[in-house]
Formats: sequence, C-alpha cells, structure tokens
Amino acid sequence: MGGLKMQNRRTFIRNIALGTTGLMVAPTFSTFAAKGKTKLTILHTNDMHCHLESFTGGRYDGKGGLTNLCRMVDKIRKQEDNVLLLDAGDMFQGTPYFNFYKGELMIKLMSEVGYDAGTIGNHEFDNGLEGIANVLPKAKFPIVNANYDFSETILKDTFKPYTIVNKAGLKVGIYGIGIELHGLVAPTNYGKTHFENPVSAALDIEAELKEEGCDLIICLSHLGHKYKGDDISDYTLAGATKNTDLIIGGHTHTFLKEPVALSNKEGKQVLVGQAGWGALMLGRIDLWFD
Amino acid sequence: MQFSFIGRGIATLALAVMLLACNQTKELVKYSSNYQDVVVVKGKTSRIDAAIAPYKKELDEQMNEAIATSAKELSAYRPESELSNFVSDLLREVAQKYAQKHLNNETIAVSLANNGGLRSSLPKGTITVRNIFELMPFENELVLLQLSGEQLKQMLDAISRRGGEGVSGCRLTIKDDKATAITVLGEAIDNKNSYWVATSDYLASGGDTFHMLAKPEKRVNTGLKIRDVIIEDLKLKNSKGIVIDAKLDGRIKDAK
Repeated sequence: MGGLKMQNRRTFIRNIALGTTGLMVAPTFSTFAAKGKTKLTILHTNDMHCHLESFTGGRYDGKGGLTNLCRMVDKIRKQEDNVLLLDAGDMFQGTPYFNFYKGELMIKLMSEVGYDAGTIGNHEFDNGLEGIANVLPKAKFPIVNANYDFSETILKDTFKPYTIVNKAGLKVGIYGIGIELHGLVAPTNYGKTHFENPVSAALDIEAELKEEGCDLIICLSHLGHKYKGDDISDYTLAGATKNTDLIIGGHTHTFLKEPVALSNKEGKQVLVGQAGWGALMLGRIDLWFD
Repeated sequence: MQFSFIGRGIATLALAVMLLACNQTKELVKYSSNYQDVVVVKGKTSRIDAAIAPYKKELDEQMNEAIATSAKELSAYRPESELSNFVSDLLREVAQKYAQKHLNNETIAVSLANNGGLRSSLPKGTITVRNIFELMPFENELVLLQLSGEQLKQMLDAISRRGGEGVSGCRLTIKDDKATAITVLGEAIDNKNSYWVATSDYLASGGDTFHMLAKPEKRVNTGLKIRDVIIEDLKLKNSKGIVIDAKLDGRIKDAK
C-alpha cells in the first residue's frame, strides 16, 4: 500500500518525537537511589459508552458507571504511589448523556477522574469528524492513535501517535491503535481518514518508543480481543509485535477475569487486558520493575 | 584548591551515575492483577456526582416526558417481531408523508429497519422519551433510495440471509437463505420497475452487509433523525387518542 502515505506518517512521527523530547522530565536521582523494586499500578477501562451512572433495571442493575468507578480509582490512588489510569476507546454513544451533550460531558468527567491517556474507538466517529474535533481536544489527558491518518481531514495534527509518561522513574510509552472503519462506521462520518495497517503501525511506534528508552510500552487498542476469522485483534497484535509489554484492549466488550499472558514475536511475554464495558469493571494490573 | 577539585570529582561521579541510570532501562520482573466489578455502594457518593447533577436534572426533565401508551410490550426478534414491524411500518408511513411534500408523491414501496439498530424493547403502558432514546440511541437519519427491481430482490435476499429484519410493504418466505414468494405492495417484483425504499443512512451506506443499498438509482437524504421521527409520530398518535399496538402478520416467514 501507498509508500507516500507511510512516508507522511513517518515524517509526522519524527516531528512529534522532536516535539515531545523537550518536554520529557529527567528521572530524579532520588528515585534511582531508592532500594528494591519499583511498583507501577495500571488501571484500565474500555467502551464506557457514556455510562456516567450505574445501570438501572436488567442484568446490570446497580452496577457500573463512571461515578462509581471514580470512587474505586480514588481509593487505589490513596493506597498506591504510582498509578496510571488508561482507557481503550468508545467513550461515546450509549446513553442520552451522549445524545444531549455530544460526549463533551464524558470527556470533562474523565478528565476530572484523572485519566492519564485514552484512544479513539469507532463510536468516537458517531457525530462525524466534527464531533471529534469539537470534543476530544478538550480532554485534559492525551488521546493517542498511530494508525488513523487524519492528514487530509479537519483533524490534521490533532492527535499524536503516542505519549511518554514518567512515573516512579520509569519511562512509560503509550500508543493507540484503532479498528478498520470501513464497514463499521458510515463513510460520511470518517471522510478522508485513511486507515493504516494496525500491525505495521504498532511495529513502527514500538521500535520508536524502544529507541526513546522506554521501560514499559503499552498499546491502547480498540481492535477487539480475539476473532474466529482473519480480522486483526489484540491476539494478532500481541503475536506480531516485539517490544509491546501490555495491550489494553476494547471494542469486543470482553469481561476478562485477568489479563491473558501471550507470547510476542520473539517469545517474550505480552499481557492482554480488557474490562467489559459501561464502566462495569475496573481492570487493575500491578507491575514490578528491577 | 584541593577542596574544589574533590567537589568537582564528586559532581562528575554523580553525573556519571545519573547518565548510566538514565540509559539503563528497567526490567519488568513480576505482575499481578485484580479485575473488579464496579458497583453502587449504598450511602457512598463520588466526587464527580456534583458535576453530573445539573446535567442529570436537565436530562431527566426531558427524558421522563410521557408521549404514548402501548397496549403491550414490543420486542425485536427474527424473522419478524412486533417491534420491528411497528418501527418499519412507522418509517414507511412517515416516508410517504415526506414523499407527498418533497418527492412528487412517489410511492414508498418498502421500508427496512435493521433489528441490530433496535437497541431496546418498548414497555407495556406509558412510553417516555427515554424509552425511544434507549430504542434508538444512534443519530441515524431517514434516507429514501430508488432501487431497481433487481436491487430490491438483492436487498430481500440479504434480509433472508440474516434471518429476517424489520420490513414494511413487502412479504416474503425465507428458503435456503433466499427470499421467495415475494410480494411488494401485493404484487410480484417487476424487474423493469424501480422502487422507493425508506431506510436509515447507516444501511444506505452499505452497513450490516446491505452493500446493494450503497449504489441506488437515486438517493434522497431527508435530514430527519429517525429517533425524532418516531417521537413526533408517537406524540401525534397520542394526541388523537391512539394506543400503540403491533402484531405479527406473517410478512416474513421461515420455510424451514
């Protein structure tokens, strides 16, 4: 596929990388002087679909909702020093809060809860590119995507492919991967957004993040957990990448009991998580580094 | 002199240690996990409740408005259901009114509403605006498509492969994943004729494998949101004292 397109993205990535280097904070000496292992707590959600409050009636009665999730996150943040709260997309659509407030309320509240990073799911396109342009840039956390080429749309230069967060003296690279839009989203809603192959985009970005010296590389994926057919999933991505340590998944609304440990292209371990939908579950993965 | 030399030495050493530390990435050595259900805890609030409250109040006022009464609960299932019949009949009726005003009163022969787009049942008794938002959360618009007889047949075959969808204006029997015994407004499909079909912009763009709808002879975007159309129609019927009801009439039969 188009060499020109790929060239554009590479140039874009290089520009972004140059932009972010200056912002990076050098790890403090005291962190390195501390003895023992460093602990990092990852909290994650996906497909919250504007469920601000708990469900009423039906099988999820009295469960879920961002407001209840917020209470759990606050408690964990009090207990743990180093917490990252991440979301794997489809924040939009699902309750009247979306129809009335166009996702703006959701993004405002996610910012207040204190999300550290998020990505773009297919339902983020439900009010077209304008619906994204009007709302997502208001988030007080970075929203990353590495495989939607928006360069011919009004979203040009809006999203970075990745972000680097410094936590506990660890350098954490977080990138985003979105699902194929054709056949899933009305063409009028994604316009001239070009979809790039998730695997090749992931390989490019993770290599870049490795070069940047990241201790941990996380992919926020809206591909879906696993499919019977050939469609690209988190399983596909896990097996094809070399440097990604953790895939925080979404789209298939999969309720996992724990992250699945898979082998990457080089036989190293990759963890693949996903936490249902509607803020019905909070995923927690504690990681120790030495 | 000597003091500053030592001082410089320490500074250099500290810098070297820092640089070394910076270049050395740490290894992930262990992990554990704890996936927890998010639940309401009685008496416990959260710090974002206050931020939600004014929006919730505004929303509830509009959502709780009663707009109709239904004689029974309407649910969606295949091959035909009360709910899919109800919605597709309503869409064809509204589309015909639109055509009367804006489309030379052309006949809207068929309407199509996908079961996947009907996200919730309608309850027996009072129907509120909230019920319609739950039924139809998407911002889909009503679209009118002029199809050739052959395209219409392809559409009905696609419906059959999917085990049935919401239709109005036509009758068919599903046999071996194909539409048979087809009638459109009581007559067989004439391949020399064109037919107007009312559906959503989602299906008209080829969604849910309805690829044939993406290349119609003509397409009219009404600009009307399907949810709004349903709400307005229910309000209108309610004002005339009409109670909502729908029944199965064998418009889609399964031969197996």
